[in-house]
Amino acid sequence: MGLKTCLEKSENLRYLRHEFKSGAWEKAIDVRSFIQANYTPYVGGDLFLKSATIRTKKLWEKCSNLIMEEYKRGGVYDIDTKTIASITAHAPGYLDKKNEIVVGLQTDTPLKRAINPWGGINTVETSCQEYGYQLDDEVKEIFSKYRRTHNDGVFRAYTETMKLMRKTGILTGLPDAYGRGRIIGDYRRVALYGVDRLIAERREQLESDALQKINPDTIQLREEISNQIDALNELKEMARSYGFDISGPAYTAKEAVQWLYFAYLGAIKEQNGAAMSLGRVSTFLDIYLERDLAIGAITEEAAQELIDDFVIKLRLARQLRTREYNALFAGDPMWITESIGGMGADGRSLVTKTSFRFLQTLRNLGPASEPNLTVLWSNDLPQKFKEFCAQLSIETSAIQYENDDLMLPVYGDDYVISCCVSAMRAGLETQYFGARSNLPKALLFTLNGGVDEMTGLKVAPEFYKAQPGQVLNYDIVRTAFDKTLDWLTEQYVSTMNLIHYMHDKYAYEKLEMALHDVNPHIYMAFGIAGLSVVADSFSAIKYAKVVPVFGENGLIQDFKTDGEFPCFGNDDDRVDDIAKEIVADFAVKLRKNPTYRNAEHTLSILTITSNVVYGKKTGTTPCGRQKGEPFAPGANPMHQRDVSGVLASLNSVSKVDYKYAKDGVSYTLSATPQCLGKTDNSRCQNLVSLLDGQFNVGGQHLNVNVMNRETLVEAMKNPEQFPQLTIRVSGYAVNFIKLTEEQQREVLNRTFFHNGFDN
Amino acid sequence: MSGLKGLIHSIEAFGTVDGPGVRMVLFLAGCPMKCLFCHNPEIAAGDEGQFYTPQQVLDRYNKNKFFYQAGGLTFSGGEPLLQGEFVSQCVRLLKENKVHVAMDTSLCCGEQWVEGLIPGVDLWMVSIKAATAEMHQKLTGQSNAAIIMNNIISLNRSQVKMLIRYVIIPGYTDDEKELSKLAEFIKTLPFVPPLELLAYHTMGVHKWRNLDLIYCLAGVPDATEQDVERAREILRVNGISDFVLCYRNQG
Repeated sequence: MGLKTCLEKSENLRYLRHEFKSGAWEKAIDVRSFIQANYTPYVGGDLFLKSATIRTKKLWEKCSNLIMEEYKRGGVYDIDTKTIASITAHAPGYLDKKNEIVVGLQTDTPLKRAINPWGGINTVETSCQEYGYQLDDEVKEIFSKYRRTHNDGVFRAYTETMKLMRKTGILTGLPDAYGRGRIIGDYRRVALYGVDRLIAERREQLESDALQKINPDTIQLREEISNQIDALNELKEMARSYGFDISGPAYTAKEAVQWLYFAYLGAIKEQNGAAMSLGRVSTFLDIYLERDLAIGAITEEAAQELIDDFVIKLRLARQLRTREYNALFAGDPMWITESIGGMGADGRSLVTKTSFRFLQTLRNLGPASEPNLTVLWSNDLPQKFKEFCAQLSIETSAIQYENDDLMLPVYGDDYVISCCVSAMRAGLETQYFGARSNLPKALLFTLNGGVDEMTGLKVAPEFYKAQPGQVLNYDIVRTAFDKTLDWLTEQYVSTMNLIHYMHDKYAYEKLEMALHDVNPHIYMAFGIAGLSVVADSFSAIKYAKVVPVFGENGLIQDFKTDGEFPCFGNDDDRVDDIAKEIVADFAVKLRKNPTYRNAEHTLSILTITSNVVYGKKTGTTPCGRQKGEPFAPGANPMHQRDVSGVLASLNSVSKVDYKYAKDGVSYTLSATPQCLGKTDNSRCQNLVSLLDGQFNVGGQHLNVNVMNRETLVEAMKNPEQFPQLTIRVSGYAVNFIKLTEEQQREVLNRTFFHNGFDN
Repeated sequence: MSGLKGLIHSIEAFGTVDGPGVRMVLFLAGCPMKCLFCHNPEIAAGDEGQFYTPQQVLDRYNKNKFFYQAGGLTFSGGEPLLQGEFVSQCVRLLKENKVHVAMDTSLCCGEQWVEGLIPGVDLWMVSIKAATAEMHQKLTGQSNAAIIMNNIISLNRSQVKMLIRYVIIPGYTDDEKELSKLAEFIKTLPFVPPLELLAYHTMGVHKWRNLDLIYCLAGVPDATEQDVERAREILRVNGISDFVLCYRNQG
C-alpha cells in the first residue's frame, strides 16, 4: 500500500525512471536499446494469467452490443459527415468514462466514423452515400475548390497507360484514393520519451548542417519535419483534451499504455491508411508492467485488465470505406498488427509475460480479427510459449505466424510486421505500399497480343499472339511473357513513383513520420497476385497440350487442354520451379527501374481478399480456372488442387525464394481439428511441430485456421449466432460474418486438410 | 540389402494419430488376418501399392524431417510384419539415422521378426483384436490367438515400450466376458503396458463394397463415447488403471 501511494505522488514518479537500466536510449532516441537493457525474458507457462475482471466483462459486453448493432446497420454505426479528420478535430469520446482504464476514441462517440478527405473527396462522398449519409456541402466544396486531394493529384498526372492498367485490373488496389498505410510510427517513443523530447530532436534536425543546403530534397524534408513538429504538438493537445499531459515520459505502466495508445490514436485520427499497424509493443510495455508489479503498485489482475482495456480500444478502431474498397480488403480490417515474440540478437527470447497477456485477450474478450496478433516464431522460442500460441490458435483461429529465424538476420531484432507480412525495422524503416499486379492477366495479355481479354482494350505492347488451332509452345509463350513482364514492371514502378510522390504532397503522414528517424530507409512494396494460377497455367502449357479457343471478338475465350499437368501445391518441382522462377524474374525486373526517394524494391506474394476481385476481372486461364473464378489467396495453391496433403502444400510454397520476396510470402492453412490429432494436448503439440517444421524449411508466413467447414456453413445460415467467429484469410483475420457472401463462398472452397495423407 | 523392396500401399506424411507427435506413417500392403471390422480392406488385400527400398523410405522421411522432430515414423498396414525382412532393414537404417520408430502391429507373425526388431523399435503399438480365443476366431477368422499372445508376452518381457490397442465393437468386444479376459491377460504381463481403447466406426464399410466384398458386421453401430467409457469402467473394475486417455475412432 505504501509503495502504491508513493507511486501515485507525482514527485516520486521521476524516481521510478531511475529504476530503469541506462543505455544508449538515454542519449538518443533508441527504443530498442531501452528494451534490451530492461526487459525480462519469460520462459514459463500460462498459469500466471488472470481472466477478465467483472469491469472488463461489462465494458466488453457494451462493446459487443455496439458492434452487433453496427453489423445490423449494414456495417457502419454512424458517420460524422461534417468534421474533417485530424489529430485534434474531434472532442474527446468515451465508451464508459468512469469504467475505462485507457481512454481515447477516434471521434466523440464509439464506432462513429470520421471522414478523411485528404486521400480523395469522391471516395468519402461515395462511402457516405453507400451507407445512407450525405457528405457536408462545405467539406465537399473545400476539397473540390480550394484544397487538392491525393486522388486528384494522382489522376492529373496518370498516363493513359496507367489508367488503362488500372481499369483492366492488371494493377489493382493501388493506394490512389485513400491513405497508403503500411507506415508504422514507433508509438513506443511517445511513452518512453514524452512528446517534448521528440519535438526537440526534430528541431535539432532542422538546424543540422545537412538540412541547410537547399535543394528539392532538403526542401521537401524541411517542410516534412516542420509538419511533423505540428503533428507532435497536436498530439499533446489531443491528449490534453482527455486530461493528460504527455509532454514528458510515461512513468507508470498505466501511463505507458495510455501514452502509447494516444500516439497510435493520433495516427488513426490523422490517417486512413489501408493498414495501420501497431508495431511491437508488448515486450516494451512489459518492462513497465513488471516494474510496477515488482514494487507492488499493481497486481497481475490489474496488469491484465490494463492490456484487456487497451485491446478493447483497438477493437473499436474504424475507418470509413467504400464498398468497392471492402471488396478488395474485406471485413472492415485495420491491420492493427502487433508483432509478438521473436528472438533477440543476443540469443535471449523476446517473449515476456506481456506477450502472454496480449494473447490472453483472445480468451478474456473472445476471438476477434483485431488487433492482428502476429507471432514471430523461432525454433528457439520457449516451448511453453509455443504451446500457448498453438492452443490459442486451435481455440480461436485468430493468430498468424511469421518466421523470425528468416527475418531476424535481415531486419534485426526490433522489426515490426506491417499489415500482414511486411517486415521493417521499427522507427528506422518505412514502406510505400504498392498493392499488386495480376500475373495471370499478364499471361492473357501476352497470349492476346497485349489486349485485355475482358474489355478488349489494348493495354500492353504486342510481343506475341496465339493462333487459333495451334498448340501453345511453352518456350515461345514463356519468352513473350518475359517481355510482357519487362513492360509491366516498368509501368508498375512508374505508377508507384507517381502515387507516392502525390501522397507525400497531399496526404503526408506527419504524425507517423514524426515517430520515425528523420531519414528512414524506405521500401517500395510491390506485389504479385495469382501466383499459383500463373504457375499452373504454364505447367499446363508445358506438360499438357493447350489450344486456345477464340471468340468472335478475336480474343481467347477458353482453352482446350489435353493431358495431365502437375499443379502447384503438391511438392512437385516441375511446376514449383516455374512459380519460383517467375517470382525471381519479377523481382529482378522491378529492380531495374529507379524509385521515388530511392526506395528499395521489395515484393510480396499476398492478396488480402483481393483474390476474389482479381479473379472476377480475369478471363479463363490455361490451367482450367474459369473466367471470373477467384484466385487462391496469397501464395496458396489453387483451391482443391493441392491434393497431396498439408506438408506437400506447405513445401511447394516454401520453395518461393524469400530473397526475392522479402515483403512476405503468405500461406493460409485450413485444417480440421482432427487433422492435428486426437486429443487437445496432442493437437497443440502437433501444431507446434507443424510450425517448427514449416519455418525450418524456410516458409515465411503461416495463417492457421483450425476449424470444420460445417461451422462456416452454419455461420452463413445463422450469422447472429456467430458474432465473434474469426477466420484468417490472407495475412489478416476477419470476422467471418462480415464477409460478403461471395467471399464466404471462396473461403468455403479452400482446401481443408482433414488428414495427413500424402499420396 | 539395397535390392530388397517393400510394398507400401500409402504414406501419410502428416500422421497425427498413430504414435506420439507428427509422424510419417507407412501403410504396408497385405495382412494375414481377415478381421471382419477391418477399416482398410484395400490395404489388407495387399495387391496394390508402390515398391520402396529402405533407402527410399528414409529419403522420403528426410524430405519432411523438420516436421517430425517431436514425432517420427510409424509402420502400419495391413500388417507391417508380414514384410518382416523389409521392415527390419528399414528399422535398422532409420535407427542409424536416429529416427523414432513406432510399430503398429497385431504381432500376428513369426517370432524371429519380433526379436530382431526389439533394439530398433521405440514404441510397439500392439492391437489385440479379441481376448478370448472364440471371439478371436470369430472376428479374425484365425485360430492363432495363442501365438499372438505369446508374441506379446515375449516382447513385453524384453521391457520394450509398449501400448496395447483394443477396438470396442458393440456386441462383440465390449461385454464383461471379453473385457475381463483382456484385463486378466494384460495384468499377467511382466511389465503392464498402457491400454488405448478405440471406438469401432463404420467409415471403412464402403471400401468393402468397392472391393466387392461382403461386410459381415453390417448393422453394428459405431461405438459411442459412452460405449468406450463403459468398457473402460469394466476394465477398471477388473484392475486395469493405465489408460491412454483419448477418445478416437478406430483408424
